[in-house]
Amino acid sequence: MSSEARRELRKILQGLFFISPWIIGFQGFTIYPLVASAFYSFTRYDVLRPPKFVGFDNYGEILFRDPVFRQSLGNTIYFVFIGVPAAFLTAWLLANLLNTEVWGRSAWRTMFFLPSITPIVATVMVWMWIYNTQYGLINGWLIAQGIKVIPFLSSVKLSKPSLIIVQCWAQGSAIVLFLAALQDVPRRVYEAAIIDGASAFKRFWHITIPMCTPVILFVLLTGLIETFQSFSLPWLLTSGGPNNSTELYSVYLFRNAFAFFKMGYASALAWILFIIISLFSLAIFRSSARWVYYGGE
Amino acid sequence: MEERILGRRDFLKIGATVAAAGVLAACAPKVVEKVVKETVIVEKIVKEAAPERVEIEWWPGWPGPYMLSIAKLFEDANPDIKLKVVSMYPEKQVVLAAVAADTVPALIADVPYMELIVRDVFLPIDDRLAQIPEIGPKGGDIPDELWNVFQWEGKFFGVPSVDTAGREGMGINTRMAEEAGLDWTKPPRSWDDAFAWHQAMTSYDDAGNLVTLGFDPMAERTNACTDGDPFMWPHMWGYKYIDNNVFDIDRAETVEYFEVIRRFAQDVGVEKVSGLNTAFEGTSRGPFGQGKVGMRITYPSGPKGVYTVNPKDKCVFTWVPMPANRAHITMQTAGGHAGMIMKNTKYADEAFKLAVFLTGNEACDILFNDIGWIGPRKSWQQQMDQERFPEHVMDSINWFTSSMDNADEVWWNTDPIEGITANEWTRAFQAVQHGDITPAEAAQQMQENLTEEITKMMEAR
Repeated sequence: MSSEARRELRKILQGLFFISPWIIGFQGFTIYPLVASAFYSFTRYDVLRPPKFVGFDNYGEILFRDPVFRQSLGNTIYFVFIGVPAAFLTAWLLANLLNTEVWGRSAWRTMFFLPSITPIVATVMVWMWIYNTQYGLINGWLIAQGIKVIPFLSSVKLSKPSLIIVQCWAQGSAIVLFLAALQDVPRRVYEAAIIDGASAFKRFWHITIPMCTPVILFVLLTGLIETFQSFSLPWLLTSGGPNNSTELYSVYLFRNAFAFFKMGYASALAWILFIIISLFSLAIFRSSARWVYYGGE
Repeated sequence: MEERILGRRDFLKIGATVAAAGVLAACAPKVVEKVVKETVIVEKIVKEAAPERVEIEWWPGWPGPYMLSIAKLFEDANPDIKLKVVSMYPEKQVVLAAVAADTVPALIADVPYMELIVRDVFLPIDDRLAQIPEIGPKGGDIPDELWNVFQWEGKFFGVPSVDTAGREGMGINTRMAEEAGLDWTKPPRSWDDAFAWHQAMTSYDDAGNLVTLGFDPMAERTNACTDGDPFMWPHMWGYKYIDNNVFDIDRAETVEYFEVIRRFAQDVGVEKVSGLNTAFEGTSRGPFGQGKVGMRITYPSGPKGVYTVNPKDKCVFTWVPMPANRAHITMQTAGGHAGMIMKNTKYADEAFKLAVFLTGNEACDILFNDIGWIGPRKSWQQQMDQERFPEHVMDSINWFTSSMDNADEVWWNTDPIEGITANEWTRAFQAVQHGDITPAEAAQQMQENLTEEITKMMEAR
């Protein structure tokens, strides 16, 4: 082997050595669980005893005979298709407000960002108090005024919107991303548009939005993926109730894995969710060619 | 330009190599030098003089300081055993992970007992029962019913322990009863009477908001239970919903008690009842403990638990209501908790010692004095400190301890898929309460779903 080749090999080995902790972790905590769950999805497996191969039984039962799967998927799709746009619009609106010359902008930015870094359990405790029908922040005032309380978490109709409100409250990360995108729009473009007589709305519609579409795509995509997998909020706040109206897909998956000892079935649920999320993500990516503007193009 | 002695890249390489060498050296076995060797020899001499202590891990099931006190007493009584107490509620996923990783404790409690028994997680204790004839099954100091709760295919698996007595008591808030013009010394015996009491004790403000509730048909013991607790609605109607792994749910009695549950919920409104429960979730006995609900069927720990959070209200406990045609019958269920020895532990003997110790006077005194929990031995129950809590609290505790002896019927469950069953019940109850399905449809669906589930579970054994 020539000295050049030896030097090259040494460099490669050095590089591999330095990234080996990540490779080991990735294989142990990502690749192995992925492959294992794919295997277990074709078995009846309760973790406590060896898995029993059942072929596509789990998938067949989920797709054709499990009414709870359909209900949880329906709840999740509601949560995604109402919740993600609601959260997006909240973040977008607040970012645009923060992009103006408003007094105390730094303080506002901090206040809007704090919810996104608050631990979920603390968040749930606070919102349980806010939504409390006896002495909560909202209903306590309504009772004092002699008004009927709002059953946020005990009404089938209001439970999901109540969760979505909490989700909108915690959009700090998206607000920061949007704000960075808004501040990245070159001022000269706005100046040119003003000179040409463009109104504020036209500037917003034809300049601001197109220039921010890459970040909008990112926020929508990550929001979709995260919301499809939403677990902590419904589990802690409502435990899937009332009457399973907030039994989201991940909650049902968790129950199968750990409450019912059906890890094989839960693994199949996980892979079906992966396919669903992949399909939606692909659709968004495909559509992005029509509405996302990359400045370098 | 001066030649560089050490480039940046070289510096980083050397630094990384030194760091890696340091990590490897820290992990490598230490070289025993002469001085260290002599120290080791001295340590060995000292250790041989003292008895060898075995350390066993104990998951007591409840994270209270009382468990640590019990652990200290046990260690004092057994100097050859050291306890590593893991204070937490052993959630199912934690137990599964421990079994999968083979990091199980020696003794555990407050778990889904039957679901784990049928999956061969626990050690049968039949060969050890001969050591404890004074408390063992078939005539010992701990009632046979409590041993039977943890029995499967003819084998015994757990030593009954904490919070173990007759499992059901109808708690009545005497203040709310008196305010409603009810005589709490003559409690309701039928569900029709209980419904009348419920209506009398339910009140609203001018806006129609629920202020107080008479009874919640889905609260605590009337909810779908697991982890050693019997599901009592079928027992009230005089039948077992599962026997020898065969479900028997699709029957007229099931429809009847679904109707009872629906009647209570629709009288007030499901949303209002649910809102009240959610408002006080996490407090002891929920809104009943806070004096907002007039009646609640709860555990033997109920009397002390309610007194702790609401000492100004006097609550008394009595028999649960029954259907009209069985209102003359008093019913109790057996259940509770047990010390379970994990099958893969190396310290089964020590774990069994601890499990038996938990039934003893010292351990039970600690739990009783601290949180009002009842121990399983009859002899201990007879010598409970009657001055420990106010008279009405002790009266209720005494009622619980004597209820299994005084009841006309004592029931318990053996359901190997109790987690799935509990979920099915909860879904069915809620669907019936919300009017999504009829009671008859609920009974039929449950029969079909649970029969399919238990068939699959048994096939996998």
